[in-house]
Amino acid sequence: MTEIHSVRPLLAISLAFVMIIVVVLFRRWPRLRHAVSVGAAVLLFGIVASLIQPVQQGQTPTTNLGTLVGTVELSFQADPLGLLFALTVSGLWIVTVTYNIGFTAGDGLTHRTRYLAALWLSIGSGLGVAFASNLLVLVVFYELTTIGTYPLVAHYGSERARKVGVEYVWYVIGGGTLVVGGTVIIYALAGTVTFVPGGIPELAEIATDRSLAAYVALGSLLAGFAVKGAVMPFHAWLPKAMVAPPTVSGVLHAVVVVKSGVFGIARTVLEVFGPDATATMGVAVPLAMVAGSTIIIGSLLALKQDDLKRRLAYSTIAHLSYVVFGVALLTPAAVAGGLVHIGAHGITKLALFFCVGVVTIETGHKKVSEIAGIGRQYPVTMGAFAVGACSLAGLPLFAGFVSKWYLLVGSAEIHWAVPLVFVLSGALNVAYFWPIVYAAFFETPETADPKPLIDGPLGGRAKAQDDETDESPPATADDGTTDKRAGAFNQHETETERPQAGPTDSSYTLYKESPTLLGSLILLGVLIITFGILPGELALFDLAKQAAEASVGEVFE
Amino acid sequence: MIAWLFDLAPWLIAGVIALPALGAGILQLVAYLSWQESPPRHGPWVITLGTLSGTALLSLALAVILVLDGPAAYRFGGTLFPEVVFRADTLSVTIGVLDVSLTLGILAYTYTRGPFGSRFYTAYLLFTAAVFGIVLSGDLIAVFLFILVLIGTTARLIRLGGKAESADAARNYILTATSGAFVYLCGALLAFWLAGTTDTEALGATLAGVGYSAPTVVSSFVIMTIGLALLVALFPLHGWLVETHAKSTDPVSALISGVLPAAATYALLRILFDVYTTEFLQANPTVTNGIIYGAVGSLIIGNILAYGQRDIKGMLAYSTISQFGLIVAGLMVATETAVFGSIIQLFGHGIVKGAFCLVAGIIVLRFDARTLDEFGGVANRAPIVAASFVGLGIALIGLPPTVGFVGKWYIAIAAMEQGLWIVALFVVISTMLTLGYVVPFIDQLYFAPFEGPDHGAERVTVPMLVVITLAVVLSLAIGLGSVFLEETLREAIEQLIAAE
Repeated sequence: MTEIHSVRPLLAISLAFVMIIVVVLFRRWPRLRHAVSVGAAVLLFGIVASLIQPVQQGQTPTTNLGTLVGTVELSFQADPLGLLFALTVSGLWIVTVTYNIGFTAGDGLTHRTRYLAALWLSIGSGLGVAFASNLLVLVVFYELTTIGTYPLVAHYGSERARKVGVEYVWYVIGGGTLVVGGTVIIYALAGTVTFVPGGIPELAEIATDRSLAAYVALGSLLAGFAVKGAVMPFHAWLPKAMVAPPTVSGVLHAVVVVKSGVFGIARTVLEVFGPDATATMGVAVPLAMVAGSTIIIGSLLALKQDDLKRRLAYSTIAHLSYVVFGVALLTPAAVAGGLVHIGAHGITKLALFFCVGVVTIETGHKKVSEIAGIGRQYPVTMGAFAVGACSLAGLPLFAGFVSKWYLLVGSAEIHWAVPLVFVLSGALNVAYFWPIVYAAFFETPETADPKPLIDGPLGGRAKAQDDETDESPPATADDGTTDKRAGAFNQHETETERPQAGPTDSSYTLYKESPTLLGSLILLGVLIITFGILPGELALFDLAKQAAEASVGEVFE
Repeated sequence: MIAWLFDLAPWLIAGVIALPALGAGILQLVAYLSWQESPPRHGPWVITLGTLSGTALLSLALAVILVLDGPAAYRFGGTLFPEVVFRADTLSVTIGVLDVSLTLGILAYTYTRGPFGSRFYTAYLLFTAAVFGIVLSGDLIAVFLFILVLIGTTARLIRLGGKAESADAARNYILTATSGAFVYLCGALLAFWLAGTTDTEALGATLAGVGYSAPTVVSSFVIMTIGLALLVALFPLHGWLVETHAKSTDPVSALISGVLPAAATYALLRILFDVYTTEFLQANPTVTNGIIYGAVGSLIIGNILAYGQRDIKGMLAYSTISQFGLIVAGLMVATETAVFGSIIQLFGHGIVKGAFCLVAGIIVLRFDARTLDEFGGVANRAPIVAASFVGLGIALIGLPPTVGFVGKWYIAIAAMEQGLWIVALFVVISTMLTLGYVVPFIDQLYFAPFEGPDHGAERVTVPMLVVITLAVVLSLAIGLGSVFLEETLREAIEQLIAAE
């Protein structure tokens, strides 16, 4: 791995930050603003993509801007792991910003300048997280993503949105503060916070002594990143943040925010403490257990959500833990699979959110129970949704299968029973996506019937059968308060507080789906399938392997 | 040629104290001679601007010379009355630059909104001079005298601010602050009795001979620290700051929060390291730890009390108390990293809090909004002001990459290295505590509906906006460029920490 000087990592980040100013300057010319944004997004992706070749040749393009504080340098590097994340961010951002054009028009969004500027800030800081060459620079941009996304989460400005916005800030800045604390300790212990594949050598010695300070540092880093990564029990903010517009949900779930959390965990385990130290300290197993339970519980909870976006949110919680689980298993194939899932899940979840966004704009429907027959009115939209669902379920020939395959192989190296987590999760994915796809394509509102898989509280308390089955059951012990409150809000509040944007009649017009909306959905669908059929042709896969090999060891073919 | 310029340093030291004082004198004279009938509205302001610009130039020149040539001293008197030494190094000039840039920045606000009148600006100039005096004097008694001047001028500034309750507030302030100053004087006299001198360097040498664990030495230190702690407004000696903050006009609040505790903290720093040295701190762990945990307590309690405040100025006052807890804790950790962290925090906080008070003032000017509930929807009408509020809020919370983060980073690192876990923990946690009371204001600004009156954008002048924007930019620039500051201050801090 040779370090070469290149301005491109910095160029990519600064382009996004410059776009904030451009967006504000062009506030009086909305069309121009959108056009410039799309152009800049393509350019941004071009810059990031131009880094693929040198990285695959084993070089690390680095922009070093000198010292930030003490001996820590303000430096940006495109190493395989960082580039993987940066490609995901910048690639999906093109789709997001295109979709956003149609969405802002369809939704009648207000404060569009602030909205777009905050999106650009989130993207720029996401790239900063990706290219940061040490923990402190990562922390700087990690906190900036929060500053960028807070106004987005609270965007609608309703009582509920504001409350959730403040809560969101508490959660993620709390996580960020934990990360800062961990960084401080590591700097005090090791004298450096620069990422080294395989772990910082100075830290490894201290970590093998199993000193308390090392545990506190590792614990607070993992917990801090887990907040944004929505690993249970720090996940509660994510379903609530669904009050935000769907573009924002896409950014939160697929492009930047939660991904920066799991990315931080990957950096911590692979390149700060290193796989050896993490294993020696005995942290890898508990981390894997937490991630594994999050996968199962998240998928189970997704089953119970009637609100489409909430169902997707719990699905995100489960899928993010695929990444964490893969990294925590510490076998080369599992790590590679987990890292590929950053990209694979990103593409897929973005498609799913955008489908739901289109459905909501066009029909005003937001619930699984209202979806019947929608597929015949909006075949492209629901088709993309079906593709996304297959991908997340991990069916072959779809993107999700690639990462899942490696996760299965990698986890089987540990014990034959570990892959069961993924098998079970795959089955649950089918269980919570199939009813939507089925109802959309094969039912009409007249023939629709409720399809409850779990209609009683988990744990089996007796419940009268003739309850309205489309209501969420009362909150259960394992997801107590959040479920109850958030559930209530989804059933009643959003609809009264948020003005219904689209018409609620189901008059059939395919052409109402604006070209920018449809185009981005088709593009995502194609991407999912391409990624599933030809994973080797997309750089993401190679980069993930390269990153895993640098830290953990050879990924066998 | 260059050497000749360097010889100017002592005169510059004298100049930065004398010039504002002289300006005050001229202002009074002009007012007495020709403005008695009909004082021109902006006359005093122009003279003040000229004087402060001159002072700023002098202090910048001094800073450049000090960076290039090392510390300098100016000796004053010696025949008619005891000799007083003024010493300057890059540290002291940092606080000096903070002082003069704040007083200059606040002028942009007072040009249109007042207070007007030569009496206010006389006090304003004397205030600037007194801060320079405290920062530069190398003599315990001279520091005391300058503190008295500072208290007197601050009280006049509060009273001339023109609010109804301000006369009471000024009187209370004088009583409290003067008693703090006299407590400090007792300690200084005790030290004088022990060592026979009040010059800080000579004192340091003599006290080392007396022995650092001698009860008299320890008590002289403790007494002086308590006196100064009152002037810094550390908990539980903070009451005066909250009251004066609430009852003076916004530009004066900016000075009170930004400069006043900074000057007292700087005096504490000088006494701590020049007179008593780090060896004293090591010899008396009880005293050291007592002050550290007292300061950390101030950090936490200040933050917690800020939650009770619906009024923006109350919030800012308690936030100041907590910030100075952080700064003093950093000083007492007493390593190079920690002291640098404290200095950068001191400087950064001055800029941020000063600008914050002005932003609060601007919002009052245009929207009559003082409390949290009245802040609703201001962002839609005044985007620049609201964005500045957010920028300054982020710096106040201490999120990267602003100056607030960098200061905390250095202090936390140093505390960790010294094994002071609890200090590091609370420094990190204070981010969350600050977040909790700043975010509701931002939430209101941006997402609540607008309800209050709007007096029109023309009430807010361009210079006001320039000043607050500049403060936001500075808070970012100092955060990103902290290394340059560290480079500049390193030598001075090394000398400060190094035991004689």
